[in-house]
Amino acid sequence: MSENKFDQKMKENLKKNETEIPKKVQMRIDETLNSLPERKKTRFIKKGVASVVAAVASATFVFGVGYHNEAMADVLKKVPFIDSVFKLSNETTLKEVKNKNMATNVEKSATDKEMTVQIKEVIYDGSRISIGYVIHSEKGLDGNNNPFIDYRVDGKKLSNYGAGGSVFRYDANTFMGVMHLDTAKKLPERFELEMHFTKIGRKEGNWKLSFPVRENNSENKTILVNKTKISGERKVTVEKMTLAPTSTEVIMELEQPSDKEMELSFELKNDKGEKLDIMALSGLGDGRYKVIYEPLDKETSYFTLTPKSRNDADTDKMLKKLGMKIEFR
Amino acid sequence: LPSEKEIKLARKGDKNAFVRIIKEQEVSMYRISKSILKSEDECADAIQETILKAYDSIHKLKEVKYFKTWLIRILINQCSAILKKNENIISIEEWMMPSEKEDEKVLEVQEAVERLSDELKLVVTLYYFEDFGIKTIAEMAGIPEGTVKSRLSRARTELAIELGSENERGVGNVRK
Repeated sequence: MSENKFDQKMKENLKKNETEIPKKVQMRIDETLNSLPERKKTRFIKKGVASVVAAVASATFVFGVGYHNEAMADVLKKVPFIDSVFKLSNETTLKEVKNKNMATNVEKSATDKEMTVQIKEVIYDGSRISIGYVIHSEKGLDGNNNPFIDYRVDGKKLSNYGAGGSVFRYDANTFMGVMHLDTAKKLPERFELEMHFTKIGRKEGNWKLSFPVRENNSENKTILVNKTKISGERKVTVEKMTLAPTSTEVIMELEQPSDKEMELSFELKNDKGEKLDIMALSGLGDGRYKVIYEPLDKETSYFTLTPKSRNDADTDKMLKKLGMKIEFR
Repeated sequence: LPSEKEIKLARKGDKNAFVRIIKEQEVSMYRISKSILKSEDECADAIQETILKAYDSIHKLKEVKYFKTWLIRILINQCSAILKKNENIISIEEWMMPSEKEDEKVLEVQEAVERLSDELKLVVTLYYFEDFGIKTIAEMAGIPEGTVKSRLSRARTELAIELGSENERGVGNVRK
């Protein structure tokens, strides 16, 4: 048989046989993919940005399927008792929130397709909502349990928002998850939040849960900064900053000539020079922006805010003049 | 192959796109790791490390069309590192279940591939299963093209003998 014919026959023969990934390896792959951290992104203010730029949230709706299981009580008995997802998560800020009793316990459940979703707790610190939930199935869960969720606030579909989070395994039948929501518009002090899970991992279904949320800003500190820096034709004004347990919010205004408009990002560093990641960025109109960073260590005595361009050292040198130091105490 | 659009999204930092393109490659990743490593645990370790490394550095991937080559190269490096680390360790799985493989009802061609020596198995898997060209295999495995060719040629000879004798046995012929 010629080399080519032999090769062709080999390929045909081998491909007839589908390789099956052993369960053990498959589980490890799915768990690894599930536990990947959200990418630390530098977010840029783009021309005419007026929406929240954050992790993409799902917008799929599934209507008309009953979501309440008659045997709900039985199912719930089987869901392991988890006191707090925040406490068990790997986010120190959420652990702190829980320790300080700032989170509200929810305990709402919905069951569909033999899967139960249970909301455990919620915290809304005025700028971001964080929700802790549990996914349980008596049939066992594989590694992929990323949820697709639609949100409603007081019955109105939430648009212009960013959502992102993580899921992690509790036991063979249970996963825990944390979801963060950032909205462009300030939400009311009290509202009813509806979370409609339309897909969990590869399973489509209907898990709709609704619960009250109340702003807890007791630990927040707002600083009215009102500081302006001008360099050439560009002007940056930081209006105010809010230091909350789960986030740092900066409201600023950026003016630049329309013909020389640049895509900029704003780097926030603490007094140790450590950079804080941007979690969400939204345009408020008229050149005003709300930037949400990760929470700032309360021990910080000052921080610096510097505009940055996309990888251009010369522009960055010029932009440095627009940077400012903001005293914390 | 994953679409260029998906790879570009993953390169930009889209976690979901990254998950999707890895899911598309998981069978290839398992097959290739299995051609180098013995136990399932080792394969799981190598694939896990590969996913984490790829996630960390996908933003550095210059040409999206080389995504699979790039991913497999990381995997082969991980497998080699595990192989080196476990050189002197006999895995429990391997020691406890030596006969399990023989019981599996796999096509005889695949059985024959599995009986090849380790260095031949990798080249055969990449060439016949994954359809990579000789030049790409050389780059991925870090060996000269000539070595890839000679290994393939040796593999062909061994497979032909192995399959030939198997076929004869299969129809009840006795070789004299």
